[in-house]
Amino acid sequence: MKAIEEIKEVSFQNHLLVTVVLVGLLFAVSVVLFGVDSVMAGAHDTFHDFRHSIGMPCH
Amino acid sequence: MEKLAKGLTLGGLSGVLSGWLILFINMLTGVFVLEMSFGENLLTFGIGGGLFGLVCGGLMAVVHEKLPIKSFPVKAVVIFGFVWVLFRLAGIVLSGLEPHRFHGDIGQSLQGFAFAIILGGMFGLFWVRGKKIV
Ligand SMILES: [Zn+2]
Repeated sequence: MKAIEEIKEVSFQNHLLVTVVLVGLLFAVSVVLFGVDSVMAGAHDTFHDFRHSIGMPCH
Repeated sequence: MEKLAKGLTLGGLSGVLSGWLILFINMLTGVFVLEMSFGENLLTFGIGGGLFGLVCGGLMAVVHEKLPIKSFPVKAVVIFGFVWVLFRLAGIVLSGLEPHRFHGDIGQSLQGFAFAIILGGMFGLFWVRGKKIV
């Protein structure tokens, strides 16, 4: 029984880690794609050519 | 966890390569007149493409077994295309909120969708072919 509990624990930790990694990446790519200057100063200008080249709406 | 590591590694790799590829494609099509130097764009397209590939590759590692499609590369193309569409839709919402600042462009959108499809295809092939590498 204890082994099963441990497996569940590890599995939960893995799921949590996967979720944290994916949400973090999602946040980072959103800053780049939408040019969120309030999160990263200069994000809009720095990735301006990239944003337009991959079709994300801009000014 | 191994799958996630593989998804992130190959997603990041194919993302950087596709970012550079779309830089060259854009220079050919002239869909957007680039404003920065080539050297700066090598960096920003690599980072931007790499991040996009990381997100999609990580997502693929988690969801690919649940998709009712047989071919892995086809799955990747569908998921990468889907993620691009989601971002594009979020962009439309932003356009609605701030019409002065955000607006879309059909040529750029088509090129962007092509970017996602190329990236998904590349990722799918790397995943299938690269079994021994990663
Ligand atoms: Zn713009």
